[in-house]
Amino acid sequence: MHRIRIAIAIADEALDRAGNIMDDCRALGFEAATALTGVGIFTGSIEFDRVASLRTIVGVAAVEIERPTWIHAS
Amino acid sequence: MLWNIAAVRIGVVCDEGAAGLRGLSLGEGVVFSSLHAGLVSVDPDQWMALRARKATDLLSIEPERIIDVMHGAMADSSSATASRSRASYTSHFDKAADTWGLQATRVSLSRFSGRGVRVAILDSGLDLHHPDFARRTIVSASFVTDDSVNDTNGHGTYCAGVACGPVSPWQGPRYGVASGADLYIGKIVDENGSGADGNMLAGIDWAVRRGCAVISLSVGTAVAPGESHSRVFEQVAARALAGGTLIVGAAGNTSLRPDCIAPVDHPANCPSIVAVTAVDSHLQIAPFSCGGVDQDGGVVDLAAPGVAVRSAWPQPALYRSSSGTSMASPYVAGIAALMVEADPSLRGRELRDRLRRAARPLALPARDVGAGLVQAP
Repeated sequence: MHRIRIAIAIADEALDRAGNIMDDCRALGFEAATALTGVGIFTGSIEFDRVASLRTIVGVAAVEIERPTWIHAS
Repeated sequence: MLWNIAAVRIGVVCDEGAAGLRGLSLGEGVVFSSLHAGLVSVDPDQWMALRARKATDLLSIEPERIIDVMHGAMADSSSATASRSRASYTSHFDKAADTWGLQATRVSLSRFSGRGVRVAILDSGLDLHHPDFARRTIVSASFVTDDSVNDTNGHGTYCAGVACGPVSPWQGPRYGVASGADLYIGKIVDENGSGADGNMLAGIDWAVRRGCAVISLSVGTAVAPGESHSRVFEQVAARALAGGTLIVGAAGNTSLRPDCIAPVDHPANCPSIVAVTAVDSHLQIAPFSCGGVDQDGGVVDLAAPGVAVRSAWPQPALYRSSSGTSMASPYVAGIAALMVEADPSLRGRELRDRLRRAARPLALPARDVGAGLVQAP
């Protein structure tokens, strides 16, 4: 199955439980790449068909598939 | 001497009055003793030396302005009055002095340099050996796998130059805003100028944890009309704002005006990110500049110079003139740093609000320029 890179935003009220939320994400197959503690974000990868399941974890505010970005050159 | 221009008349305000002015050994002029001010002629070298001089007795140095009778408000961009006023304004950009953008945003007249303020440029890195950054405080990190922070694309060096270039560049006119700011260079795109959300998020996190007052982003992704902004990036930007870090983002260059106005790019379309569009030296919206055409986010906050803007470029070229909202975003970031130096209590939302309140209204829709042309303190 195809793995995709995602970003997970932790809800404001759940920032103090970030460690537990990471464990819950891993239990669903999330492989963490970074834990950005300054802004409350995890980045990593997961099987494409498991993305929706991450949104059911209490304390997860948003899950988005990573976009490519480019410099704004005219 | 690098320039071949006539002498410039400047106004000088000096703490010690007439005696202080005579002590500067400047050219011919007139002294207003009771005002502790004078009007003198200086050559370009004297002008640069005065600006670089750190003297507590020299309170202000400004180019002499030309004044005209008031013709009325510039309410209608199609009126003859507005056209005449616009022509008067742009004819005063001295091509041999600071770049037109520094003049239009009043950076040339500001006594602030962003000293002590941390400004993060998240882009393609920096030419660490560029002579214009030789004596600057620079903290850097790369968030591109197996890639150093050294800029092999050019875009990052360019943006850093606009935001924080020196008062006296190695060659040519001044082009940078916050010449005294502490530069935080985060590499988030590779030599081809491409990256991903993850690189950007890591760079933002790094800059926030290091207490940067401003982050300038000239990277992003086009969005479809009606597409919602990123909830992840909005949460990140809102948290940064609450913590005292303002994120400024380029609106994007995918419009083909007048036929097509594209929505503001991701992530600048997030409500908590200051979205910046580009204007030219006639203060008209650039034809490529995205606009605030969507209902859900994507509002334009400010406009800044973004056409034929000169800045630094990696060696051997050293300098380049370019156009894009990439050029406009670092103008706002640099001016934000000047505001923070002027009032250190200004951070996050208060800083954003001050930028908007201080903007110069333009005879253009808010969809295109937000509150107007960013202005320095």
